[in-house]
Amino acid sequence: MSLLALAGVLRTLKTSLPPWWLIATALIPIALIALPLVYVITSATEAGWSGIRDELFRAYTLSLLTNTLVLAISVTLGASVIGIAVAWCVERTDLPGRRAWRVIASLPLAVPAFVSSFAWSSMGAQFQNMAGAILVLTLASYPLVYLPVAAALRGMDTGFEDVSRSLGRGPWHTFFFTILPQARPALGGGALLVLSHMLAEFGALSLLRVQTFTTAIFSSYELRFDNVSAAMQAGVLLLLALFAAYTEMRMRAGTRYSRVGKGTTRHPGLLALGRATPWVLLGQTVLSILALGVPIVALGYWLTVGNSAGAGLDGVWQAVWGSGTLSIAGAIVTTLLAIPLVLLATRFSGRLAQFADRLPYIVHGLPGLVIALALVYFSIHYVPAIYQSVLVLILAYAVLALPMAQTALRASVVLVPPKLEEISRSLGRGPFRAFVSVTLPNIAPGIGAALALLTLELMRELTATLMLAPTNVVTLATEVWSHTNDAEYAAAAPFAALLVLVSAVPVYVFTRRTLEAHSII
Amino acid sequence: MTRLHIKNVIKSFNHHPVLQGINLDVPAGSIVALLGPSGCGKTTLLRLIGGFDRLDDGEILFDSRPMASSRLHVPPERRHIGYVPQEGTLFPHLSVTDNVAYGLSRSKRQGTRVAEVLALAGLSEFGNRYPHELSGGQQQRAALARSLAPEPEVILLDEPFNALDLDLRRQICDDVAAMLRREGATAILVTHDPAEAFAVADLVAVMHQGQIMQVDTPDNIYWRPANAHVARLTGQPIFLEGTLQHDAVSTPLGVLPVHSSYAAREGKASIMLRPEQITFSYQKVGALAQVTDRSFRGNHVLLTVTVQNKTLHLRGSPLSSPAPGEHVHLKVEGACAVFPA
Repeated sequence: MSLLALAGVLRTLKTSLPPWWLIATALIPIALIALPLVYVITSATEAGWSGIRDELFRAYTLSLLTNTLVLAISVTLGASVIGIAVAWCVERTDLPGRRAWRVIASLPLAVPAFVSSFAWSSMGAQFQNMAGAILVLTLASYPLVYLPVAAALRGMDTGFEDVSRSLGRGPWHTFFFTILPQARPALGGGALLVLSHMLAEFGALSLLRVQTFTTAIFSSYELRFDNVSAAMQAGVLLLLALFAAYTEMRMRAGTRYSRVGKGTTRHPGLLALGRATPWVLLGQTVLSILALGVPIVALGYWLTVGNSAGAGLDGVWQAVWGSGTLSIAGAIVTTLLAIPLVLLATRFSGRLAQFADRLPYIVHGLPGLVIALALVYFSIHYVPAIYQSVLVLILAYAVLALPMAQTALRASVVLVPPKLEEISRSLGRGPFRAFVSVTLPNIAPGIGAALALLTLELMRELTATLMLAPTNVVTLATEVWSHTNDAEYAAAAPFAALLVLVSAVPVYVFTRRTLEAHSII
Repeated sequence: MTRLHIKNVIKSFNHHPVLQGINLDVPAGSIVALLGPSGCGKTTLLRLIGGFDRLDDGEILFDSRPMASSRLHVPPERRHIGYVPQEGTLFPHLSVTDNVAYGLSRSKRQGTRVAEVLALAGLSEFGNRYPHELSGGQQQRAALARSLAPEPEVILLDEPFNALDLDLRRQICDDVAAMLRREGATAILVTHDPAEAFAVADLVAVMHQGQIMQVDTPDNIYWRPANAHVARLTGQPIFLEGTLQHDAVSTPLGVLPVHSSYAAREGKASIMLRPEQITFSYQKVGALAQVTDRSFRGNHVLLTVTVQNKTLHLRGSPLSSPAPGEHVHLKVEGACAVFPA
């Protein structure tokens, strides 16, 4: 490509700098995201070097670190192996009922991890330990690997496999040396997302009685809200989680839009399973029973017991009301905060725009618990009026759901060509009025969809809600957690069942998006 | 009506120079075409005039009012421009009427201006339609009507006919030229198609590698190009070697006159003719040539001929052109352009 042709290409890139009002509004979510970091650094400074040393360099911290890493790494490995195996069977073999398995394999996402923990722990104390937690969380999170890998396998040119086979390599060799390397960005991205989730997981671990950083931070916090132990443990957890998120970002950087293949009709050769068919079918069935059957049967069982026990519906209404109002408010605030970030990232160049584009990865590295802790700290110290108010919880929701909002909005913003705004400018409207009169009406449907999706997703939120909700406010998630914690499984069941129903919609959207395109922020 | 001055404008993207000192004067009420290959910087120049991008150095003035310099940047909404991009890009959520009314003040929207420009665009009956309910040509005319409605000082057209198919393109091209002339607007049309530039513009500015090579009337640009780049960008050229003698030049096709605009020099030179200047003669006048190939192209035939070991590609009538192997005489009409060898 000649220099001038290159210049022609560059011309079409975003070149202008963002207007001040966009920068100002984008700084609000960025400031919120910075709070956890500021919190950890402030607390560390207050504690001083000796304080940090006393807190961190002791056997307890080491045991937390060991537990956290053992759990996170085991679940990530387990989820990766299961995810790849399922993806390959569903996309590349003549497994009977492939279409049905494709959907069934992603359904465990509809069961929040703390709900499946409720199901398993209700069956007895033998699952309330590290091994049980690894089992439950692996089953709950393998779809995060399965979905992107399946999408990658589907988008892959089967020519490579044919060539490998023609060169005398068997199917196993072909899989490990031809297929897997191509699926690596998808696999790596999915696995690191699992890792981030595991580092941040609190609800499931507390119900399964496993001590990790999150559960330890929560107990320290329950003892004293400005606990130095909590802050220091949060610091270590933040380092781990940000590392995972950073690696995820590096992994995805070049591959995010690489496969948006448009309806090319290919007929990939499906591997004949032959005599292995019944065994593969058996494996899929067992997996589905464990990941989906057990939680649903347990839920059904406790629901009937609960009914016979005469559990009232009043509590359910109150929780539905709490979940509904909080998550709708959270979704609205999140969307409002996400719009300037998305505009920055899609319409402008410069460091801030680039940063806005990468913000979701940073948020992936912020455990909800640490966000909640930071908000408690800052509200008590600087704006006591809002402490214990719904506002603080909504802000936590806004940070947690920001990545999802950015993805959902981005999809509709990129459909509105920047040329439309330029024409509006040429016809005498300033940048802000151009946005309101042209861009906003055209992204309105996308905003609506984002709001619905975020509302349903926020209903599943447990950790921040537990820590920040005003004392008289309950949600479906907090009710499941507190009843299960007290071993009142029948009482928890109706709330858990409603949560699973509510989760189905975002899971459906997520599944479709992942299998169609390739990105899963 | 506004006169547009562009003085020594420089623009780079990521250290790649895209415009290297552009000077251009657009007389009030005239249509100027920026003609050039993709990547030559013509769209960049248009975007600088519109204020969508900032220039690095130089100056852009509307009449005597500065719009852009290295220190000044008037935003697009305060330049009183009209802008029609490639795809027309009507606002998808507004009807044709609302699109056209978009740039008008509240009071003017109630007036007759909207109906006036809709009529000018031949869209009076389509005011209630939405963009997706219009054909490509109608969308383009509506986009132009929208840009004309606020009576802008300068209209910027960025390859506005590109998305249309060929027949429609010629038609819309004429419609647009007529609309611009009726409104008496000062307009700049970016295009890579010389036929489009010649059909619409009063003046054509030929751009190449970030510089303006020549600004002149379509006629002069075509017959008297300033250099070989301009000759190639404005149509098919035939280059010959020749020796200058005062105001004539001796070439393989005989001694030919030189356009008076070229300062006649002595010695070797590169000669340019257009294919249509060369016709076939059966009267044994002119240089003797042999036809080596004949290729049918519908409304004309493409003939390959050899004259003194030099191969030329000429056009002929599909009804009366010589066959391969035949010997013909080549007659040259008009004068030729001369470049230093």
